Amino acid sequence: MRVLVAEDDALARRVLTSVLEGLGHEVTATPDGREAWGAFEQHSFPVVISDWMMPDLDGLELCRRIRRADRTRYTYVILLTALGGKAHYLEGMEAGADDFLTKPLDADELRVRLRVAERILGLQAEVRQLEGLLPICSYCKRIRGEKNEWTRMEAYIASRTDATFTHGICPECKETLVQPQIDRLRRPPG
Amino acid sequence: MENPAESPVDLAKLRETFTDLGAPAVFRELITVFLRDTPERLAALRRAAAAGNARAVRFAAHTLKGTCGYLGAQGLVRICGELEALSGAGPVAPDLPLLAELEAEFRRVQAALEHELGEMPG
Repeated sequence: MRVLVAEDDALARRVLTSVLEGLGHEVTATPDGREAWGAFEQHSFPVVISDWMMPDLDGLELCRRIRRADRTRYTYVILLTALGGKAHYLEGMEAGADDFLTKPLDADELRVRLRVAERILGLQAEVRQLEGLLPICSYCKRIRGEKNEWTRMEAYIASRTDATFTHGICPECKETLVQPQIDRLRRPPG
Repeated sequence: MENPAESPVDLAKLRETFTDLGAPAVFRELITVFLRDTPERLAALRRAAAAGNARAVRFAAHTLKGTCGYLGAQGLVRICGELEALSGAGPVAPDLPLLAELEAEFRRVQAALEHELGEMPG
């Protein structure tokens, strides 16, 4: 996975980056929240691991911005903290964090937490696919919309996309449907 | 009181992490960088305290605490934690006794790490 790291402490950043790369992830490491936000604006990252306390733009604010960004794909955010206690935990959850890891970082713990991240992201992708399924009538090809109404495919697509339809006949339909009708009309009566 | 003969660092975990990754050279590099950069970070802490900048003291102490945690330098972690709590609570005195304690503990850690580096291959 592509992982964005925000950590102001050089040693901690190096440890985190090495462990993540060792696990086979592609890492973009940044030394503060502001740079991390800049990277996030440029690219999409399924996972962001951020230190909590950083000068200027901290982990909480980074997390809030990521949640406000309203990307099509979900971003799983893990906050790193040396701070303990329920109040901090709640504050992090409120900001939209998915998980927490305490420093100094434990490589095994990081590995299993990332497995959870992958599972959640996988479920998210699955839900999106299911939402993308369209119920269609096998006979008339009309599509069932959100309000249970059945709409002609052209109308359905036209109302949701920029597409406009121009009607024609494809060679196969011309041969199997249109030509027999023309032939029938041309046949002498009787 | 802490036993002065006891090592002020515990590198087992960090060493294991990089051995598992097959990158022992990185482990060595991290210690070297720590030894190189920490004196300046301690000096910055002193400057921030002298300027009465409690926020800067708190940040510097917090970050250094994080770094020291990776090296299992529990004495430094404790002092940094106390500095962080103190500077989070209000204005700081320019001649904090904790700063002298921090510098003394760093000298112990420095000696222990230099010894470790000497023992390491490569």
